[in-house]
Amino acid sequence: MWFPSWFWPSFAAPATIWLLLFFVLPFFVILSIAFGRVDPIFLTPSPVYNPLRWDVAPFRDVLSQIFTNGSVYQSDFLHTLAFVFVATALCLAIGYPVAYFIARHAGRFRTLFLVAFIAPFWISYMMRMLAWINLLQPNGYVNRILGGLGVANTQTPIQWLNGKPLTVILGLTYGYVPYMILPLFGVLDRIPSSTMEAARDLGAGQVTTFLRVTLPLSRQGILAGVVIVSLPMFGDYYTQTLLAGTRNTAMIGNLIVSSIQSSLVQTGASLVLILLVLLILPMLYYLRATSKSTELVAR
Amino acid sequence: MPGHPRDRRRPLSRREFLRRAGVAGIATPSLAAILAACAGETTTEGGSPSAALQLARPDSPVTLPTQGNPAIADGLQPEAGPLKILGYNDYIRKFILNKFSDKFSTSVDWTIFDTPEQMVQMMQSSGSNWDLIVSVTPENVGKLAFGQLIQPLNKTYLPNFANVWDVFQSPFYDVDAQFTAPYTVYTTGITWRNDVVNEDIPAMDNPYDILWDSKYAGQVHLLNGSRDTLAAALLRMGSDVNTSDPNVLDQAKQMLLDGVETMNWKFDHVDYSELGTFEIHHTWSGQVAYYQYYLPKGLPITAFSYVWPPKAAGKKPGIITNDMFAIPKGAKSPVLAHAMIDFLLDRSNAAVNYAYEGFQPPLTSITPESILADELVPKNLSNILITQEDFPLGVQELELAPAVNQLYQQIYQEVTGGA
Repeated sequence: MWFPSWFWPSFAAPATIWLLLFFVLPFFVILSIAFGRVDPIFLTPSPVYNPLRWDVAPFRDVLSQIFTNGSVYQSDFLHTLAFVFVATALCLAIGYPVAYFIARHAGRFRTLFLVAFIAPFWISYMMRMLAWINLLQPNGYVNRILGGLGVANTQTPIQWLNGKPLTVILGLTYGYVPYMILPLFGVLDRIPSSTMEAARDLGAGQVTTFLRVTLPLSRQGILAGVVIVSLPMFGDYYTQTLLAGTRNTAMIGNLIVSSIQSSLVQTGASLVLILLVLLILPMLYYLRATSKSTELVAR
Repeated sequence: MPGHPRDRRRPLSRREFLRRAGVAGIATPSLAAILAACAGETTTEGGSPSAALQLARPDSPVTLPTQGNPAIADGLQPEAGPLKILGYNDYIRKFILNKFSDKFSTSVDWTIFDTPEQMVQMMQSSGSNWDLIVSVTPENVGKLAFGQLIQPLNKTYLPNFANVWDVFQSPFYDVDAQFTAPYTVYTTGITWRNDVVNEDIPAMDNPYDILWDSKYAGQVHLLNGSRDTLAAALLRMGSDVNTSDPNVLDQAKQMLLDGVETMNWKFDHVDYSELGTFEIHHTWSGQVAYYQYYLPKGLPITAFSYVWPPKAAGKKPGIITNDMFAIPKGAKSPVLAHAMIDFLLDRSNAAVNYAYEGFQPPLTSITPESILADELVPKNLSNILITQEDFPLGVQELELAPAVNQLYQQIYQEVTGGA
């Protein structure tokens, strides 16, 4: 059957239009605000759409602030990097064994386990965080259990919600861990049992088989999970707002939101651009690693 | 003095802000004139004309300009609606909205804004999309009126305006109340758990000191928002909450940064939903009225106390202010908007609304005595209630010159990190 030359390429049109409308155009508006002007009376942003008239000075100011020791921008970036790094590592540490178990040992209950682990997806992120607020309150279940175990003093309960970095990290981990399990499960499930049996036949123990066969073969899943989990974490702001709300736990997302909700919209736009550049680096690494892996498979 | 708007290609650097604000401070009380001179011939980027903005102060009342911005004519019938409200979330009781809808055979659409700055942005970009703003504060009414983003009220549609306290019949920020009608009044003070805080806060020489008392580190929450957060420090220092003096603002910033370091404050304004998680909270009196409905199990309402510093032993300054209704210019249903304002200035509707909202309506017939008799506020928190005689005791957060306003917001961001 003959198709005109434009037929198959036209399948890309919806996605292309979508990207143009909902990514390229908004991105250009952000650029126009970051490099634009501010209304002198209302302090609202006045985008400048002609790149020839862009003023990079406000952007440069924000960038220089990030590299100024002790500045609020720098501390928020450092908090974000630290929280995202630890929370992603925790997601991996929790998600990998779970995905491994479901893929290799859950047997006929694997669907049940998978559904059970993915169930939190069905409840909104906000609701899950609000549930944590109840659990972590001074008289909440967490303190009661810790008190019952003798780990915490029931008279002076731990104030989990008053600006503890640990609470934010746990919130992020809890919120995003399902996103880590899914890609890991997909990859681990596809590793043929025969490959591992071959390793065992050749004398490798369980640990060696895992380290030299399973782990390398699941590298793409780990990378995908890390990217899927960490990217939204970098822009997350409400986990911190709901579970902490202090300067010592503020993340870059909080700074962007507070800028947008105030008269510092231009600063917010500059921060969005800087965050975008920061996130492009791991994305590029991920794309490179994926393409190398595809090439290897093709050989 | 700010440069000509055409020259302002970027927001000012902090140093530049301080310098300019300093010059403005030296030139005070002619700040309004400075701004007027700079803004007088301005055309905003959005194309709407901005008349010369004047900063209202109690000793310098401002008559907002109505030239080229007339009120609606007398005797018009209410439109079919829907009445489109731009407001803080849930700021009018659903029951009242339904009652209004039934009475006028219409419906109400509500669009939420979170901060006054966001409201100004929305008004500037598409203000005529809405019929009523709930609410405007004295901090931004000037720029909305001078920028012709709101329209004058036609009082013939507001017979219940006579019920409003005298202090709002012709407030200094809107002489003759041409553009605004008051909705609620509240003070900003300190609430605390009297079962765990040992200090007698009202007896303290400076009650604001308790917010910096390291004994309560991790247990103190500060109101968020650039004006209220900075005001906590400015009031503690005994300074003007509308100051443009860069040295004073720098001191306030340092005081707040010290507090962040030693107190690890949480910044929010939802204390009623956090009962049991704080011991001391810088708050609005209206929020405290909600407490009785949000108490965690085992925590009685009598465990909470509130103080407004001007009425404490040390008689330190404190904020008292009001939220207002305003009608956007170009509103599609202005008569219906007037009807809603008048509906809420009616004594019985206001009382029903207050029973849910907690922020007190400034109506002559709703007194602290009547509120206590109706058991809407617990007796131990009766000092959250306000009379118009309280207004001279307090200070108000008022409109700032734009450059100074932006400096406040930069300091706030520096202090909170966006939290």
